[in-house]
Amino acid sequence: MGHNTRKKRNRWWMTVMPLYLFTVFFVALPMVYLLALSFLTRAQTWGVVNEFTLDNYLRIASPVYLNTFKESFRMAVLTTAGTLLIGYPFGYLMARLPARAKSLMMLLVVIPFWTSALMRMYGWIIIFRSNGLLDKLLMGLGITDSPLKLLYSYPAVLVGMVYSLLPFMILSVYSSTDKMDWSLVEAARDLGATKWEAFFTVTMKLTLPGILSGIVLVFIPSMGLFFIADILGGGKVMLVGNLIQNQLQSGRDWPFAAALSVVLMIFTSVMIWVYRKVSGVKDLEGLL
Amino acid sequence: MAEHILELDGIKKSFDKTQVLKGISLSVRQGEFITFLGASGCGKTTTLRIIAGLEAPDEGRVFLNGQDVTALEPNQRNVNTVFQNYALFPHMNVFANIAYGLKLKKVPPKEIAGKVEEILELVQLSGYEKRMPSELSGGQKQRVAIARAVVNNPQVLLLDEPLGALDLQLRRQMQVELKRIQKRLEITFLYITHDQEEALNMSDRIVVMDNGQLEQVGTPNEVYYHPRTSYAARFVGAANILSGRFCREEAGIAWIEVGSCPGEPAVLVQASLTDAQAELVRQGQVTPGQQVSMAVRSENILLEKEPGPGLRLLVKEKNFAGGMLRICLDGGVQGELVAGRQGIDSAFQAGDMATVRWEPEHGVLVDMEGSSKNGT
Amino acid sequence: MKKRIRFSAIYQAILLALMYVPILVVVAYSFNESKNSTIWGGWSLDWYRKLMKNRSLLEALKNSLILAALSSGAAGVIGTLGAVGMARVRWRSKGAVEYVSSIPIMIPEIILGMVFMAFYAMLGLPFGMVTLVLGHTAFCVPYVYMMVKSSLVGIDKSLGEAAKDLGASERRAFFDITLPLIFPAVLSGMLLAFAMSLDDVVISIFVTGARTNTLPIRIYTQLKSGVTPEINALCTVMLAVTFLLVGLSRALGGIRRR
Repeated sequence: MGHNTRKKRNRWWMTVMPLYLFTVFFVALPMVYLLALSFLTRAQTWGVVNEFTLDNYLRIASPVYLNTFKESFRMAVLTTAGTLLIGYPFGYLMARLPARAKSLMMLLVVIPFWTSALMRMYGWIIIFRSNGLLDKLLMGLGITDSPLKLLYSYPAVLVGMVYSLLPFMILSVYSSTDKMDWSLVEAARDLGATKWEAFFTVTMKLTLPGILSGIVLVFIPSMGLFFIADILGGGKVMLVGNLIQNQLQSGRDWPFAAALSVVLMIFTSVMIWVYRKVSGVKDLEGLL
Repeated sequence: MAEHILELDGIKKSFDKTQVLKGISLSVRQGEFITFLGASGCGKTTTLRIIAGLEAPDEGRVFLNGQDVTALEPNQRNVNTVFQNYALFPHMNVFANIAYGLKLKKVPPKEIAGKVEEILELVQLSGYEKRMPSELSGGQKQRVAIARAVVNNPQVLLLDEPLGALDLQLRRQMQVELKRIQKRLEITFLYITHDQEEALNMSDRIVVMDNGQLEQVGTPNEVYYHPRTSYAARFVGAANILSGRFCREEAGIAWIEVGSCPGEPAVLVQASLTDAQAELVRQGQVTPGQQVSMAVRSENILLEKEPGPGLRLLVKEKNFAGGMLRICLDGGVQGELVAGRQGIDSAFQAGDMATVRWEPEHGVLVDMEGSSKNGT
Repeated sequence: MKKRIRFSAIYQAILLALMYVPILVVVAYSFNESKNSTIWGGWSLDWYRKLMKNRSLLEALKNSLILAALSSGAAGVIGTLGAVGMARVRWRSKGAVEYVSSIPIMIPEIILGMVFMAFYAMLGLPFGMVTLVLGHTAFCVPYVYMMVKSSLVGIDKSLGEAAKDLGASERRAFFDITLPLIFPAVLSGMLLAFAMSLDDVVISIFVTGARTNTLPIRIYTQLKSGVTPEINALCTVMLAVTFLLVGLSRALGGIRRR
């Protein structure tokens, strides 16, 4: 029994050590610390006192902060709806292009995605600012006769959000549409469905994984993209991300910021969990 | 040099509690072309991987040229493998692929160049040195894979279904060529296939494997005409298997009582006995009335319209398969019997009755204890 | 049918145009003579000249490049070794570690920034390049890891076996066969990580020190206070760099697929 089984000198464990150590010490441990921090008390002037408290979480439940969560949620829902409405047809049509046009289109969609997010926001500032490009265009066409003052408004933030996150939706929808078996749609048509009936009963259902992963990929970051609200909203739009940043940098209330982060993280995890349950997929479609 | 270039001694191997090899013992002579024949999942590939050192056996030993190599890594054994999917290194050209093993052995570059050139000539790919594997056809990849292995002058060359991915015509051509290469280099080939035609065409000896055990080891002739077990008979050449009661033995011929349908009188048929089987009968190990099985190949089944000595059976249907006309007969309790014919035979139609018989030397007794499942 | 194609083509064209307008606007204004971005004053390269003289912006650019190089380099080593090793070890903790290591690109960046800031402060690390590299490496690792992992899946297991069969030790087989085959994936993962690091604002804002500026931080603060067209010029330069990186990564991906 096993008298001659080779002792494999397996040294591969050494190669995973950097990943293990880094993940444990610089990813897992910080997150555990954040959780602990959220139960600690804020010191009078600066720093943290090691005293257990639930205050930070109770404070979130106060109307002011609850409102911020509501506001963030509304923004995230609107952003997701916007990207879905605009992005679904685009991703769908993209998958139906001939192969060469497809890869060109892919490149065209990915390039803005790779461009600095700040640069793109800056572009919107130039467009939206009063007497900016949009105003000039509208006034030149005689549609309006005074500047619209679009910058630093809710719609500006929404446009910025939708614009930044649109590629995620497009690519998700695209990748699931591209994988779809078109003969199923043809079968539905053959069985007497009209074009639209076939679309709603077959195509929509089959591209659902792409829609779901697109929703997750858009919804999660839109809760936290504080700098878009900051730059395009000019402080008028307050999202959870902005709240956390304020608490950290101006308020210096780290435990409260930690509690906010934990709540946001739980929210995010639940979304991913639900996504996995519903779609049965482990990785997000079109993530990379 | 030891008498046997390769010896397997009681190899056992399990994966996740499923035993895939149940004690394999085999000896292979230098220069032999030996083929492992069996259905997929019978354990033939595992056996090969154990010889190559890619898997370690749970029990048993592997000897190469008399030396116990069981504990050695694959790179420490003078055995090379031609992989099923070729496994050519995609980032190296043909020359680099073939030279890889020699380079690892620190052969001087000049010598490597000469050897590679020589081997490319042998596999008829001279001038292909600079090609990348992706630029080669399936057959060419196959030749490079063979060249890459044999250039190292291994004691045993292991080939794992090397022709499986090629089309029929190319496969036939490569069979001839492999045999030529083997004769020329005088290397021991251990060849794995599930294709009986390949096995019968090329091998000096065939090892029929099933369910992790050796069913029969013998020359193509022996395995084809004298299958020892019903599995070997069915797998090699798809023979008919009949079961019945042993009656008596006369001059190396066994008389067996078989029934076709319940209630109908039994019929006596004949099968020839090997010397070993005849010895068993003489020793009284096989007694009258004992259940035995016999095999008879479909092409050896004779059909006559008139009633006579033999089984009287109904012709169920006729169809073409594998270039042969198959006449399927309803054998009652024996299941279906198949008679094979070359060309078109219009003497019998579905619904006709036919008398079935065969020459005694074409019937073979199978599954007799003691005469099977031991290697040479 | 023709009408439908035309409609969908128009839709796609409009959306693509909208995607590119903000980028093109920034690029166009970098060549604007006038300082006021609401007025077009004719073509000029002035802002590029001014950019070349702006020491603090160039310093920020230098920091960003160093940061991106260090963190994508570290991620290249950790991610590649990790992906290769994970394919060969059979530990129970494997799945958990793999999952946790991918968290940095799954959760909102702001949480990650918060997490790192609090943790580094607790450890008493000096905020600056060290903390930046640690934070960026955390979100660079998953990119390399995922790229290498998926390319390893595509490599035929029998190639390594063939190398060993031909006399290579396990280590030799890795360096001769596996590494050259996954190398394009390693590079393209590292380029992706490099670009992500170069572009990152959120995490950088949280983990940087008072004296270490990266380019995105500079741009961000300027966008909030007041912009000089030098930023346009800088953005245009960055855009060119990004294009170069994307092009390289794509080309490498192309080699890999072949």
